[in-house]
Amino acid sequence: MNTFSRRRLRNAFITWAMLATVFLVVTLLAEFVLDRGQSRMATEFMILASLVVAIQSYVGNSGLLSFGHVAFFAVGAYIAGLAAMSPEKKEQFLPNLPDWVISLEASLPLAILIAVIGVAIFAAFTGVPISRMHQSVIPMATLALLVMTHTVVNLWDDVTRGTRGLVSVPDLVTTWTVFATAVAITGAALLYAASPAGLRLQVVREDPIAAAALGIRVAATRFTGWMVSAVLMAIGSAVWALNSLAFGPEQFFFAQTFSLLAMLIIGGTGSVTGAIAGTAIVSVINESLRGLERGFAIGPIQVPELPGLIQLVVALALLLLLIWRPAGLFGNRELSIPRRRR
Amino acid sequence: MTVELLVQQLINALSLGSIYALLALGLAVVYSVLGLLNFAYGEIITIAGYCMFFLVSGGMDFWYAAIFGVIAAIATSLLIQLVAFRPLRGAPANAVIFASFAVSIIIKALISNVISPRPRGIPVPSWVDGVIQLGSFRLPILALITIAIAVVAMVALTWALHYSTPGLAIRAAAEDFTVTRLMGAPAGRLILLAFVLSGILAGIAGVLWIARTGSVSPAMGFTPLLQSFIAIVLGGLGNLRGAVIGGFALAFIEVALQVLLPTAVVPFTAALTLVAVVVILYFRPQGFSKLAQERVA
Amino acid sequence: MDTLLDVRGLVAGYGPITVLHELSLHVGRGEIVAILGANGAGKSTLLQALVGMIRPTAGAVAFDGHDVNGNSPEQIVRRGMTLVPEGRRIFSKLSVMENLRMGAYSRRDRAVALEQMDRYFELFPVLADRRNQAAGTLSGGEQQQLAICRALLSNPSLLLLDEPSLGLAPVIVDKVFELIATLRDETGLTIVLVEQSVVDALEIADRAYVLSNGRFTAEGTSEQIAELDLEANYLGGDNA
Repeated sequence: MNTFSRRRLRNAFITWAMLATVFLVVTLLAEFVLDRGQSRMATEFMILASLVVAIQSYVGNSGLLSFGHVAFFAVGAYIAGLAAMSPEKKEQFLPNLPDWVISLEASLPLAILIAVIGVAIFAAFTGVPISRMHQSVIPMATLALLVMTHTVVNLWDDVTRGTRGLVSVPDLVTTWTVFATAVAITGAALLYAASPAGLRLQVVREDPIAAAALGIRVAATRFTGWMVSAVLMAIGSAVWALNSLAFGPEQFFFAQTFSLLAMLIIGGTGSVTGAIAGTAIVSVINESLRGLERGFAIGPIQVPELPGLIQLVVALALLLLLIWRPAGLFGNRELSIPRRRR
Repeated sequence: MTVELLVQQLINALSLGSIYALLALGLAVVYSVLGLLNFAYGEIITIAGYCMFFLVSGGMDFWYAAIFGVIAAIATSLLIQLVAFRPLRGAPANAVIFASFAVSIIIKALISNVISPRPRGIPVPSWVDGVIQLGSFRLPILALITIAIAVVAMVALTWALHYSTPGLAIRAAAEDFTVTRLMGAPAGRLILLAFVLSGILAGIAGVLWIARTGSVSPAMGFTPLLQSFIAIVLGGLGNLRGAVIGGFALAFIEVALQVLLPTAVVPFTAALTLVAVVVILYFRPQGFSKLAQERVA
Repeated sequence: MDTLLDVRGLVAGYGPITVLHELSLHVGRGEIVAILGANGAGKSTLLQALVGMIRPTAGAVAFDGHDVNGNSPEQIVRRGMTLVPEGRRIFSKLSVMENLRMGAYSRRDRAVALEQMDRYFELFPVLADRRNQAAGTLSGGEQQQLAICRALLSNPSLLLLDEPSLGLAPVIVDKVFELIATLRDETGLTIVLVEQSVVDALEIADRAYVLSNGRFTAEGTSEQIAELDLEANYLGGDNA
């Protein structure tokens, strides 16, 4: 378990190539075929898929459900947004920031880099205690992490503008940057799953006690997965922020967590392919119900605005799907060349 | 700080701790049998709260409504087990956890849409907010009621778990579910019983919680869920006595932080409490479970 | 002899893995039957299939004249077949008495059983002395006695013992086996004994089956099986 297996590597590359092709098609459609609104949706899909894949790299390999990745999402988005915002805007909206933050005006790569460093530090601090916990409480502990982060983001006016959120975040992202991000994150997640470290985490997932008996250090292995996943999450979050232009604390709380995890679980936590497929399915449900959520009429009856309708439908669909297929649509399977039967 | 103030904060911490202890017991009893945390646990309290809200608005006395609140809590707990846990027996833990999370989302969304997304007030009888003057000490009546009800509930639970056969089976199942079945205890009925107990405990705690806050809202179940989780982690997992110890420990940390922190930082109390808990767990990964080792006779 | 347990063509395993391949065995009333085999031969799987912890994929299990194949563990205990699981698995945080109360869980006349505790305590005097102590504080041998006594409280007609000698000092092992023989002699209890410790098991057993790789490779009276020199030939003992 200390070297790369050639077979696993080859399979990872095949899956990567196929998923990259899917993203390429989406990008080409967005650039040349779709109208403005549709192409925006396509871009958003690829960003969300990147985020969901980043979550998958932890949840899938460790078998531990994390509600805390949206905390990484928030930290990454705010750091990237603040780094890239122009000094004039920062002077105007956030005058109490330290001078060195105000004077900074990061390019896209620099903003991503700073977000990655920031999130990595945050993940390291939180990951140490969380990785040492009993597996059955890690999901709840990550939920606590989410709440703690949300509280701080909500209340730290001088840095986050509290509930008013960040505005005037520059648009530094093109469809092609999003494509590159999605391909890079997908590749990294597949590579990690095929790597010795990823394999060890999967052994821990199957049986922590047996893994420990094999000499695998359980907490350290979980911590590595947590960090890998956090870094990928930071990249996706930075790109999301610089594509969104304005955002506030409510975008990094339960609704977002539920939505991203629903995407992951519908597709199946066990595979990167499932994560992307799930993102596509939930995105389609979201889009088709968005109209209904604003209120609609059945004959003479006017149905009023229904906030949370999408959530309700997705949650119900998910519950039924879980009863039918507890491992999600894809289970552990990745997209690959069909195997020849002997 | 004067002695009077100290006593007042002590009673405050004890009454908050009583609620946390009951909440934590309710979450822990299902955890001890199934090995899974119920993420829709907070919604048991939410539904109990809304049930009381409608009855009290309709003119019923607060404490009569409270009885129906507890019944609604038991029904909700059973519904959660029926929808999220039973169909997924034997499924991967993640699927069950997320199913219970989905149930929580569904209940919240339904309440927001059908009733209102905004908080609603429940008028609590005014005598409850009074104080008993004892020399120079002022004892808030609600705090005393809370402590008394919680003590009675915990004594009753302890009795049931030790002297009734189903209660004994719950304790046995917490240790070894398989062997408990081998002794002839039917698995399904044990799980059902755990959810009933969980509903009763959450219901009682919920009523006391609502008497304290005086309002209901769709997301009101979240804080109780989180506090009971922290309490059971602090107390050492899968240990009912630990849940009680953890509940009181959490309340004392919270009250201490509120009293000691400068006013500017008070809004961050919840976050800082979590940090304090993480620090404790860092040095004692097993929580206070050493203190909670069950001693028999 | 009157047959108490009759198993025919039993196939069982975990998920896609089949562990037991068409096993057939029979146990007469009042017999002690040993099932011998190496680690991983499928002994525990056989017991788990008998008590309903895993569902057999094929075959028939008749117990006391009833078809119990596919019954749940709680139904099977009520019929009178009780397992003493491998590694004792007593409830260590519960008191000795509470463990015994759990043992009587399946009985309708639970109260009566508990009133007649003295009868059981005669067989296990050490448990009487420690009835209010947490079971986890008992020694290994005492815990094994508790596990057996707990099973007896369900008033079984067939007692299944999974590796009772596991983890016990040799002196204690002798005592435990002596106790098992006494049980049969005094109460007429039927016993199936799964063991790795061949010599000890054959000493008290009437008949024995040898299980390897999920199949019975030999069966016969204890004397016949003893002559096979199992340690070397079947179980992959030290000389293999």
